[in-house]
Amino acid sequence: MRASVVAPIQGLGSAVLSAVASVGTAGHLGVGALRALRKGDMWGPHILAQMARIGVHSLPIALFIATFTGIVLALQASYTFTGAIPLYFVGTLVGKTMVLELGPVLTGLALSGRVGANIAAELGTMRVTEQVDALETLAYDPIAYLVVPRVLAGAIMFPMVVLMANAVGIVAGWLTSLWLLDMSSPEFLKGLRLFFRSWDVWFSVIKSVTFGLTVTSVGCFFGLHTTGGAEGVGRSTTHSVVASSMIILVLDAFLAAVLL
Amino acid sequence: MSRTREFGVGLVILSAIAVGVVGTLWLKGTNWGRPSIEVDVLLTDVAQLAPGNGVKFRGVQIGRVATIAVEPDGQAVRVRLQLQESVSLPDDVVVLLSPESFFGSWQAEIIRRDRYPSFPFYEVQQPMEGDVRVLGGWALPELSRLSAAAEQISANLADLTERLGIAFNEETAADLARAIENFGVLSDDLRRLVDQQSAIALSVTSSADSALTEIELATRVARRSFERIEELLTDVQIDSIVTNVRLASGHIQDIAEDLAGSSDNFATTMGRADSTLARLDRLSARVEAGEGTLGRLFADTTFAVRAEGVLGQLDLLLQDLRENPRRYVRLSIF
Repeated sequence: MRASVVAPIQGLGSAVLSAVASVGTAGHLGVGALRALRKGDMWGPHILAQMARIGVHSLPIALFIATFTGIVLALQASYTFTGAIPLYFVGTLVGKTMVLELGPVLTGLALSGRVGANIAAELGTMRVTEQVDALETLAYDPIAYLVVPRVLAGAIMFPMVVLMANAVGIVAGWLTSLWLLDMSSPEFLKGLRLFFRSWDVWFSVIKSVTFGLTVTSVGCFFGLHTTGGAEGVGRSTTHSVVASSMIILVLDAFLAAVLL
Repeated sequence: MSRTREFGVGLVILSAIAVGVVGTLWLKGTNWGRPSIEVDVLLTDVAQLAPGNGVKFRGVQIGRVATIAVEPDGQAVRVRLQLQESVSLPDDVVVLLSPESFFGSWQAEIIRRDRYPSFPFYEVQQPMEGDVRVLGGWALPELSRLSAAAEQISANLADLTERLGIAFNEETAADLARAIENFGVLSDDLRRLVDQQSAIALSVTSSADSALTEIELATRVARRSFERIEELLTDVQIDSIVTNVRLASGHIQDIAEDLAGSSDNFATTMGRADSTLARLDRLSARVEAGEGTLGRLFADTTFAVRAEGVLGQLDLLLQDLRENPRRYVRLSIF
């Protein structure tokens, strides 16, 4: 057969096999992480440091994004509603949008760039410099030592960051309504409380937990499977950010369809 | 370094949890420890009401909807309201569920029952269930239901319009025009008939007036006559009148008897007249026959000629007498 016919088919088969292999590898990593949970003495001492890195150190960028998101939401809602819908619906739109969608998703995307890329680069560097192999040589479980504390820290701290981001975004929208839109606090709060449900907060927390697990897991996966030296580290970092961002958006739609 | 890290992580976690919990409770409108009472409302339908919606009394928000649940028998919905304890509700109050705004938010409004007497509020059998007061309620129809009703009305109108379009063709229009024209003619006829009837009625009325006047006059005359008769009947002269009538009757009887005698004389006279007329007939027949002096006189024409000549001579004589009286009359005193 001609090479022009064989090559595309061969490429397709290679891609499918690679995807299936990646899924298998990710599954293997997930199962290994679950097994590694039993090794608390190995991941326990490191989780606090990871929580600080993932949560505390990520707060500024998350709150910065949330602040301007709240401001933009209020301004654009006012621009859209003026003359057609009562302005107190600005509060409704800011609250609902921040809690249900933009708070978790924008924070997840931002942290996938900061945290996910950081994890992928760190573990990738350890892999290409054979530090992970050294750990294995020293009878350390690299999954329990490197993956579990990061993933657990992400699952714990992501909701905290998202809750803070939600609150800051709403406050920013509130202040914007007061100072720039000539709305009063009772008006904004009336709209904010109009369609508020407790489930909205739970939904936001559930999403942020899944996003935290996704970002850290993907970062760990690409980091531990880095090959090709410094270039491979950069490639893993990029792949980690892209993959975690795509998974976040897919999970966002999936959770909205399932939970709302 | 480790303590600083621990403090930072702990602070972030505590802050986030506090923000989530306090923010949720605040947005739900929790009373934050203020005393509240619970009031249950029974309705057949709650429309778009949801837990957390406001409860208003006289336009002021005094609480929130706590829970909504269908009764076990499925005949009603029980809505539990959480109200400020300081507000005391009047006795005859009900709960009206209505849209708070045009954009979908609903509210429960506590009102007096007589404010909307035609609304079918739920009739509560037990106003108190333990310590919880139970009120009847009713939900206004949703906008979507009104829209559905309007859509149905619109469809019916479209159907009716289509049927009218089918029925109202050119022939129908012509018939209608003719009917209108006939109606105009009929109106004119009716107008004329009414005019005639009114004229007749006017005439009858005037006749009736005059008749009534005459009847009134006759009544007066009759009254006077009756009064007069009554006076006569009551007067003592009646006896003399009766006596006079009796005498008059006697006199009439006498006159009748005289008339009877006169009639006998009259018969005799008539007999004599008959014989006289018979004689006259015979005499005229003889004259006509020229018998006797008078008959010859009538029968002989010369007599008439002579008589005419004599009359002519008499005229001449009289004329001459007038003209020459002295020829015939001599007047002397001495």
